[in-house]
Amino acid sequence: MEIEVKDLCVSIQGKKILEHASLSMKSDEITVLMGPNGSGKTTLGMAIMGYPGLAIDSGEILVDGKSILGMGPDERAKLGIFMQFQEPIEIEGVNLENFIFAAKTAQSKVSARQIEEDIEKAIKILDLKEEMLKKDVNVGFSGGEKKKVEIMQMLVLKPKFAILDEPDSGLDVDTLKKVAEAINMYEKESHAGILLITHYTRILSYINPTKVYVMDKGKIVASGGRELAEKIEREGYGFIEG
Amino acid sequence: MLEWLEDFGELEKERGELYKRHGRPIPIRFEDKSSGREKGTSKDYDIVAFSSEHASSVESEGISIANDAEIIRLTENVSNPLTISIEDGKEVTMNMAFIFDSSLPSKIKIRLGKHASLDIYETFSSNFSSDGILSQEMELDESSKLNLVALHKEPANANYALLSLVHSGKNAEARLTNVFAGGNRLHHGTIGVAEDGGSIASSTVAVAGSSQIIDLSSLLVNEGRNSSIESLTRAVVKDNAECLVKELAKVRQSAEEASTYIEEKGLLLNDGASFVPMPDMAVDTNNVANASHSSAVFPLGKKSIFYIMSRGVSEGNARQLFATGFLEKLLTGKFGSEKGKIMLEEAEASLNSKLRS
Repeated sequence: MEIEVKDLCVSIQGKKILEHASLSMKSDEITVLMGPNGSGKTTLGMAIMGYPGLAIDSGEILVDGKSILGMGPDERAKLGIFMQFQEPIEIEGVNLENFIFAAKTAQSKVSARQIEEDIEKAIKILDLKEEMLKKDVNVGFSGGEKKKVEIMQMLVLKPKFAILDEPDSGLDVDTLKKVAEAINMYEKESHAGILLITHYTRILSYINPTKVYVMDKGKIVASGGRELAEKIEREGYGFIEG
Repeated sequence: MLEWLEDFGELEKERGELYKRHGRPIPIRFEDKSSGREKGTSKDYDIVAFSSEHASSVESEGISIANDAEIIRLTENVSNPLTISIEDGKEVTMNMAFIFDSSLPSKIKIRLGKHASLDIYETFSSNFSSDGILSQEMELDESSKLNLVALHKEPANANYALLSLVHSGKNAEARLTNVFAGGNRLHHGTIGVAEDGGSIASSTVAVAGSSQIIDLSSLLVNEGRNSSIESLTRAVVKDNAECLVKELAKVRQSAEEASTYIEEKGLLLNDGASFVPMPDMAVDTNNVANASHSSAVFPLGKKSIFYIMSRGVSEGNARQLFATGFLEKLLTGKFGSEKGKIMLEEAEASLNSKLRS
């Protein structure tokens, strides 16, 4: 799968958030999108996933050459796009296991046994407690558990392209390592494309990016390889204003 | 009127004040709207009651009757109620269909003797676009237990007023669950009194849609020592519907070490829907174990729907997932027996059907 964001301008309630942003990503690659807080990284992820609260003023989002702008988030998910949220919402009364079943069966025809096996495998990889499956989705979960449960959904839903929005924020070292291992493993096994959104470089100690983009004030201001992330590690984001 | 209701002048005055403060949104007046009625259910009932003696035939309702079932056609006279009495120490489980086919008032009395136990599952529906008025009196003698589950699936053109009166005697337990999945305009009033060690636990689950108005009001009184009252309400409101919940919990001076709790929560599925919680409390004793209330209105936001849809679930199913999850909390654990499990399936199907409509 190849995703191209072309000259994308996005606003929220009249306020411009993305201004002529362009980048391309594809399967078997880990693309890292970095930038200071409020630079528009999450908005870009949400725009690809189809958040209805955003106004697409101009530009295009193409998947394998075809526009997805007219598609709802559910249709984009069925195409194989997945987003891990920074702050996933709580769903009272719906237990995690049922939710994953509902999501998986909405996307593809797969046996219940297969889903159970995939869940079991994901739980082991992420070192999650099995009893969490019986809890309501994200209700009473710690920050680390929420991140892990999001990554678990990715492992079970098996998307072709995953947008991971700050999977590293608020995690202790051990949990960060676990999450990064799961991301690496998934990318290698599935050959999926990954867009990893972060403003810290510490997750890059465990994940090797193919490409790095830097976003500031809604624009892509730099792009390169791992060396760009290392520069940010050394100098911070000051250089992008220079 | 029951003896324990005679001393309610003062409380009625308080309730009047409550209404005065918040306005009384729904007059006791119903307007007739004609639309298609629901199909009758197909289930064995122990009792089938009609609100008129001129009811249409049971068969036309698609209701199958257990061999030993009683078919009761209530007369036009309120003083001649359907009475269900459980003798001292007896344990009974039964289900009942009540069909509103007349706008004349009807009455059901439930009497539990000492240490008696009754699990009763009631399904309310309507023959035609009839308005209905029903009062249900529940008198629990010492150490008796009542588990009453009422599923209201009257058609969308039916308007009805219901009054539940419950008196939980010494160490008696009344557990009441009302599921409102039908009707047009609905007024449900509850008056409950708990004596020494007695308890009343009331759960109300409702889905309001279209331009429906659901008006729920309660007056719940801790009368005796160590008495316990809990009232939980959860409503999912959509379209231009309104749901109003007015509850007054009263802890009498005599009710030392009593506990009382009111919780009113509403989930709004869209902008035009409205849920108005009005919990109120009057505590006359300084020695109360617990007296608290909480209320919340949750509008279902774009981000919440987006989250579910991002997993491949359609918008309609995403809304339904939230709504059923929200209501499920109050349905869990209320349907223990075999008849209860059938009732739970029926209740969930009725709620889902209304959510989808």
